[in-house]
Amino acid sequence: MFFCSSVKSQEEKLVKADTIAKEVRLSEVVVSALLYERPSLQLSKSVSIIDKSVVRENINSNFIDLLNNVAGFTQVWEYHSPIILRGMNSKRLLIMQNSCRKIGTFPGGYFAQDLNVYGSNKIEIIKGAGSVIYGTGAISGIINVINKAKFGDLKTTGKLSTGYGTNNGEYFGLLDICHRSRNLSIRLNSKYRKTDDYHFGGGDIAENSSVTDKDIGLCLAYKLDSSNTLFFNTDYHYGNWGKPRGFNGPTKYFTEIRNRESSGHADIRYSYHRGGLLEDLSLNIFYDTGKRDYYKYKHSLITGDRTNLDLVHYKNQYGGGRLYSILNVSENTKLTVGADGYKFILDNPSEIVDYYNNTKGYRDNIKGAGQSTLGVFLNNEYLGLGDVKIVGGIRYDIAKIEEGEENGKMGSHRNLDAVSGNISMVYSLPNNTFLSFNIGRAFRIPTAEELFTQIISCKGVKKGNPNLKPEYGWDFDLGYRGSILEGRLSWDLALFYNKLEGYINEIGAPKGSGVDFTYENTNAKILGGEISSTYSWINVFNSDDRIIANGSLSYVYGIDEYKGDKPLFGIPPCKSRFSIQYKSKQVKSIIKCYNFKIESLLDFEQNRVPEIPKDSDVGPWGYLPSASHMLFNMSCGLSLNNLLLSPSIKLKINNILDTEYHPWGSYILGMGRNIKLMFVFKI
Amino acid sequence: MKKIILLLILAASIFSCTKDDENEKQTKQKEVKETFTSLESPYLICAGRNPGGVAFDFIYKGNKGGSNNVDDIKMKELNPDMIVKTVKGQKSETNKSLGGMPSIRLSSKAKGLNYSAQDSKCIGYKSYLKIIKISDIKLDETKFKSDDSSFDLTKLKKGSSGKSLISDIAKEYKKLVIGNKWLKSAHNTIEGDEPIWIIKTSEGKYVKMIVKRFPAIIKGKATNGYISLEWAILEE
Repeated sequence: MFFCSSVKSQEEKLVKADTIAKEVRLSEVVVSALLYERPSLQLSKSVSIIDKSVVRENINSNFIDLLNNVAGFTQVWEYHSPIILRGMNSKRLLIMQNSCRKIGTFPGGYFAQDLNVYGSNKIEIIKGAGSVIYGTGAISGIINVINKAKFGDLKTTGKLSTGYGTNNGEYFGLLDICHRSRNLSIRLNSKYRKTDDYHFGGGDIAENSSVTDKDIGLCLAYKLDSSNTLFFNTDYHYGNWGKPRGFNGPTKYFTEIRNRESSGHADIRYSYHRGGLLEDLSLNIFYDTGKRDYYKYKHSLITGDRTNLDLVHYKNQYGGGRLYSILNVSENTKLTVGADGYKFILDNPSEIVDYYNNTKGYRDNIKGAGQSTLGVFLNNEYLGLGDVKIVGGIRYDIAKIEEGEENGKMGSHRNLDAVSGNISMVYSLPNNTFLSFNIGRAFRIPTAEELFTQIISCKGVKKGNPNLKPEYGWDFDLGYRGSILEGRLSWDLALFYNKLEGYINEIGAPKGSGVDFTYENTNAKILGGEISSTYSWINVFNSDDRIIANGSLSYVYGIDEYKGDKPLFGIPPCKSRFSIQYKSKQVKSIIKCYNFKIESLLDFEQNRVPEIPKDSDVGPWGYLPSASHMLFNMSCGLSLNNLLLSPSIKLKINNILDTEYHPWGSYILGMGRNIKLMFVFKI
Repeated sequence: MKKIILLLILAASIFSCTKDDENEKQTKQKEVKETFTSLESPYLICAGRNPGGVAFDFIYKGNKGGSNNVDDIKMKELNPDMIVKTVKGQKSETNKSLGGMPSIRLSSKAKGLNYSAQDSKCIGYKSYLKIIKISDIKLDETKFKSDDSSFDLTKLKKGSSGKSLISDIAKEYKKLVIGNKWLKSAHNTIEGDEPIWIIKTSEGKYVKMIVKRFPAIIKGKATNGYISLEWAILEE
């Protein structure tokens, strides 16, 4: 749990000094950007890495809670929130698990509420266009959640953690067991979490917000010989959770939405690694399946009783794979050639219950709606220009989007294709600092829902447009980053300009059509940037302590070019984060190490919000201006030596002042003061 | 041994069968206090939010009455003359999506008349406001009618959604004096085409009634499930 526990040698200590103290590391090796290891500072795009130790330090509850600490990300609600990076939400952000794409059953994209953040080794975030390697959806960036078993000297370790949160009566338990040897590695992890309804700042209860999560995961790795390795990962998730009443607006308080879901994932990867001309050959295959029962209750405003239930049984299946090789074409040229693809299908039969009139029925709805893509790519890194590194790549994708079967009748389909590309330059300046420039063209294939489906959502009746084309993002990134003073000062400045061509936009449907919204390819622009920096003072009071200051600032500006230059939907306010932390270790004392941290989170006001479409009920988020607010958090931790099970204690207090605030875009208030306590035992 | 015990405790907690009681909530009971209370003007008639609809008793104990939500009757001696209510129907045998079907029903002792149908110049809200006394209009007692006593939605064939077909419900609504005949004119944007209804209450009094707009405008926005309805007792 604490930074000192993993430091063994002086060399390791020096490396760790730069990285492990930071909330979100700025300088470390990254795999997801190019499919092989590269130091994050030397990449052409801004990178953030979240280590598993950070998840435990923050006692994070879920994925959005974790990402909210990273500059550029925005959280709207607790637990199940759109994941917004640089003003683009889940549809334009690719989330992966072990480089395998995750796809959700929600029209708004994948929200990652079903990912066990404690099961990952690390999370790599690459901001900016990522379609050349990963295909559709990687417009604002990619997130790769890596669960990986590691090899090493024969050892079996385990951690048992348990904790409690006061705000919502949260109880959680975690188990993590690792066995490793030079050829075989096994990691088993599980999580149980149950909460009651949480409380808003000020004390009011967020009715229907309780959550139950159960997760179990297994990672296996087997080294056949020095060149050939097999990896296998699987996990299962069960969740039962509700959206707080009124989340979709005060006039929708009569609805109560709960979800009961289960999902399973498996991936297998074969890796050949030798060096020479064929440095790496990798093949991975994945399969995901999930069920989500979506309960939409309606209540009588007169009596408060439940009157109706719309119960949709979403069932999805998807799978795919990637084959790629890394070729050392010359001393300075590394070529990556690969192909990948996936297929996703969704059924959504539903039941309709009328409690008032005591009737019950069903609807078959749609079977087999979804999409499949197949893409080939080529990416080249050239290092032969001294201090300048050039990376360029191109990709071609074909896609088939299927409407599915409704009432025994097969719907239509569309075939689309897309070309994406990327070229970047990284210039190495003196003193471990780097200047980068990147131009990327990323794309997103429209979904079956956007092309064909008529759905009744919180916003009204929405009908697909079968003539939609893929949308493209021309992304221009400029970066200046570095790590100096022996790693005590590091920073990452990233500026971006994203010109979105054919941006798939929700627009009002013609009057009298019986439809409130449809989709249209329009144009938009998003620009902004983030700056993150960390400074460490070492040996402050003794030879093994440090003070670490960490700050970040992010800003996004979005223009909807449809019918004039209006504010684009989903653009968050300017946000800043600042923290200061003291860490110390005392090897000879019973107290092994301890730390203390305070942080502030400031969201500026956001008045640039899109207009509410005429004659429609407003959507569940994103249309309301938000006031500026500031929150304060604190945490401290203590790890003990020479005691049975080597216990550690962690305390985290979020929203210390119990501030009443509206998170940007949300109708409901944010969570109030939450005191979380966690105990960790080594077994 | 301790490690094994701890592991067992955790495993038990992870896989314990927790009761998912979030979906099993109980109904609430409220105290009855005698007063006319409903979501007044506009009235809420949504099948989900106010499934029983709104009951109007125009004359209550000899005086001007009011309206109550059917599911929360506050008046002990309420004797409704008219009920506004929405039911849901299945769009067709093949299209299983649901649509709301609002209607106005009269009680067995009340009668109604579409006055605008017999005086085509007396239509719309401006004409409605001009009618103050019974003598302002020419009433023909023989034209007043009650809802057909054979009206019954419960016997309609159910679609696979559990709801009757909208076409069958519409056919049944034709048996009603008012039914949903106000819907088209209240829904469109043409000003002044809303019919004026005259209702003869169970007490023998005459009441004028008009549905001005559906969906009603609340805070400048059309709001589904709400109906703008006005009524007044005609002076004798």
